[in-house]
Amino acid sequence: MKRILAGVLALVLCLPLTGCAPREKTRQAYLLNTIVRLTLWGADDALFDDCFALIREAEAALSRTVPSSEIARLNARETDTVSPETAALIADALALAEATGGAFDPTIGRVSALWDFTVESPVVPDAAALAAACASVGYAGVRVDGTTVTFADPDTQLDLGAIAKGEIADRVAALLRARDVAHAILNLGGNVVVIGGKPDGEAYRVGVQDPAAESGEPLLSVAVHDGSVVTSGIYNRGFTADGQYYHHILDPRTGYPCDNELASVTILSQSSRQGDGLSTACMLLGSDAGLALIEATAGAEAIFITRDGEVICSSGVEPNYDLQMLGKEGES
Amino acid sequence: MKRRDIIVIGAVLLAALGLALLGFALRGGGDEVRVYLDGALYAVLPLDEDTALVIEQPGGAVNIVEVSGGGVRMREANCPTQTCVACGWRYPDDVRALPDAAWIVCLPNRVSVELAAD
Repeated sequence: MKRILAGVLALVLCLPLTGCAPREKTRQAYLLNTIVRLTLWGADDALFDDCFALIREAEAALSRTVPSSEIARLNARETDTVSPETAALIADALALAEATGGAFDPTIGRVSALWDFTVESPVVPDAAALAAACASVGYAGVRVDGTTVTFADPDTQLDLGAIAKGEIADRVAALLRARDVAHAILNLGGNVVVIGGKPDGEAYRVGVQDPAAESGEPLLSVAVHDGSVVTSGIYNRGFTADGQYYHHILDPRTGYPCDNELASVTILSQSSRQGDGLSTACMLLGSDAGLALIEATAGAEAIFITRDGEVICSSGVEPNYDLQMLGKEGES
Repeated sequence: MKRRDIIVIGAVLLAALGLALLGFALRGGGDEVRVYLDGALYAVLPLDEDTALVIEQPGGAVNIVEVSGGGVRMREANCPTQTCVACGWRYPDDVRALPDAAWIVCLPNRVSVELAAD
């Protein structure tokens, strides 16, 4: 009798194995000029709402093109005071500019303003206007003192577009961790943050697009348990005019899209803010200087894909991210 | 005594197997395509039923989602980028290999297609 009871108990214990893992739920919204998709395990609708509200709020504070944003008001010199979060983000962007000798520069605002990649028929800006805009670029002329931001050059304008998405992804991740979400996948238009892998304990595989494939076919994938994957590429946003292709990664020194051997750079890191900034910085630096920067930066690894299709990895990629090459004819 | 042990263990295993199969039957076999408009669920199409869904939006955006042969694609879109159409066919195997492959997104028209496999 006791044994039968034990059997019944064992049976009851088996029940959870048949499919009562925390429920996976995905919600999406069009924010940050892209599609934001959140997949959370065991979260309720209110938490999704909080995440999307956080993103809207952050976008409203950080967007260069929203006139009431902190960045737009700084650029208009309507104020010199920002929130502590925004001040820290600006300081971080300036530090990256310093680390790259100005190859990356968040004071590219005037240049960015001349290009619009989102309209139906984008046009190449006037060369003289671009040259004038480049003259206003210079991270060294910006000071962040507490929450006060001052500019040496009255024409200098900030554009945090290269790191804002990563920053916002980090903030969402922090919110989720604070609410005890153990497993989540955040995808902010290609900026991916993985929290806790999948509920079965497995890492989540994130694909890296083949820059040569128009279809967005993945060239390789990496396994991420906890961390961020950010890719900057020349294929993400661009247009062709007079036979020339113009992509959206603008070189602060020339005012034109950067033109080197790289097609894309993927950064693997804990902080998505760091990954976002480094991916753009590496695109601008090229593979040699980019690789040197990554090897000198703690906690970040990089996968460079050249326009010829060559894949170059920093030293920590292979041991930590189980990189797998994909391909229609190869094994999948 | 040993015999009864074995009977009990066998019964438990059989019952667990039955339950697992039941759970699988309830969940599995339900591969479907979910179509979202502006982030909100708009339509659900079974993956085993060949069909074409035409989505016409008030602003003039038109997308055609096609389900055929156990796969899904964006057959047509009147968006400027055509990235979604270039994605081609997606099958459950693609999704099992890489979860992100579940999604085909037409960003300009705010239409996204999810292949919900498993």
